Amino acid sequence: MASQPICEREASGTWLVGDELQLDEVHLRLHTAIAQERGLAARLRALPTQGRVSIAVVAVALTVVMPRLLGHFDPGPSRWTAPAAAPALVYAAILIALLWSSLWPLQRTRSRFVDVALVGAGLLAPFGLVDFAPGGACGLLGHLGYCFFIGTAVGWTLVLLLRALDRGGHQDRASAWLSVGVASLATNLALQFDCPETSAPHRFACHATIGVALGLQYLAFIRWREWRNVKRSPG
Amino acid sequence: MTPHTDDELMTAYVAGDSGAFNEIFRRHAPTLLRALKPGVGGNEASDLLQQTFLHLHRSRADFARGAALRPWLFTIAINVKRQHLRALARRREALVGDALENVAAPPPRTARDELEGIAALLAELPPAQRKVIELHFIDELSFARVAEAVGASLVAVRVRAHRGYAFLRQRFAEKVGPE
Repeated sequence: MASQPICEREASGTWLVGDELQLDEVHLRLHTAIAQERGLAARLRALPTQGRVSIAVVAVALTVVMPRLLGHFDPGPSRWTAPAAAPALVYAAILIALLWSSLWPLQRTRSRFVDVALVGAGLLAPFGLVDFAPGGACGLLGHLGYCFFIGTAVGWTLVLLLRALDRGGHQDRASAWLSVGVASLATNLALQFDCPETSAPHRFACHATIGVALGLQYLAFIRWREWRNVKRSPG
Repeated sequence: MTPHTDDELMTAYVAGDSGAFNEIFRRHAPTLLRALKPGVGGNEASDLLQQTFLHLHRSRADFARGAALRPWLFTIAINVKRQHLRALARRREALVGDALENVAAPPPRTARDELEGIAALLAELPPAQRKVIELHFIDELSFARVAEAVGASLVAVRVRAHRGYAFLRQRFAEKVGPE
């Protein structure tokens, strides 16, 4: 009985010493990690959240609007007419919510439910665009009939930009899925303003499926990365 | 000498004073480490602590003067830990599946049981091997990055990983096989 308080003190002392050693080690590793925070991606991540979101908004807006602007230089007839305001606002609101959530700072709590709902909206909303705007612009890209492939490539460019702007790193799957949702909706809106093919089957098959394809490709990518890590493990 | 407030320290750090960051670490790291330990163990907790402060570094431009630093740090820590546990749950299937390719379906286990099982097996590894496996498998760093992080040569890191993974496979097979 008499030895118990001593044991407790010893145990307590050991824990404290161990803790301090652990903290020293973390401190050293932290300085190494901070020293490695170099390059463009590190600079982008270090920007204030408003700055990161602004860059993303500009990039997405340019992606969506650029085909329409380029349409002015096309000598052919334009069949484009302005889309109805109400659905346009709904899509814009979904896009902004997706963008903001994909760059959500880690010092704020986030709702998993909202994230899942937004990703679902980003992947499914393009199917609603089948009946959205009456016609494309000049079809600089759409003339080629490569809507799906070009849209997917543009989508991945947006995903990569958003991942570079995100501070969460590779472990933050929620942000990555939100980036896929942004890319899905943004590329569909861009194609809406560009592709001269206005038939519902074309929009359904070649436009709306881009988001699903991006999602499946991202899923395949993370599965491949996990498989690679398992296979690369020696022995 | 009057001790600086968290607000003053963060302001100084945002202005480029790395000494202020060291003071913030000294002041808050012990409490955060204790808060991170439950459910993950000491070594994982220290990794999460490192990530928490790395996120603080990345988010420093967001810090508003007059804001309370402590809740800020704790929210980052909670989110980092949550992400880590989710990643661990995902890796669980890959690790178990790889070890049990030819074994009949195991009896149903709760996610918590399996997480605790993996954490217990990792805890059995020597610290040097455990660190390498955590960084490589859970944090998905390349061996080159792991070597930089632990301050060892690439060859040494590969040897540690080889031994660690071999041990884990053997222990998984022993643990789940007889059931």
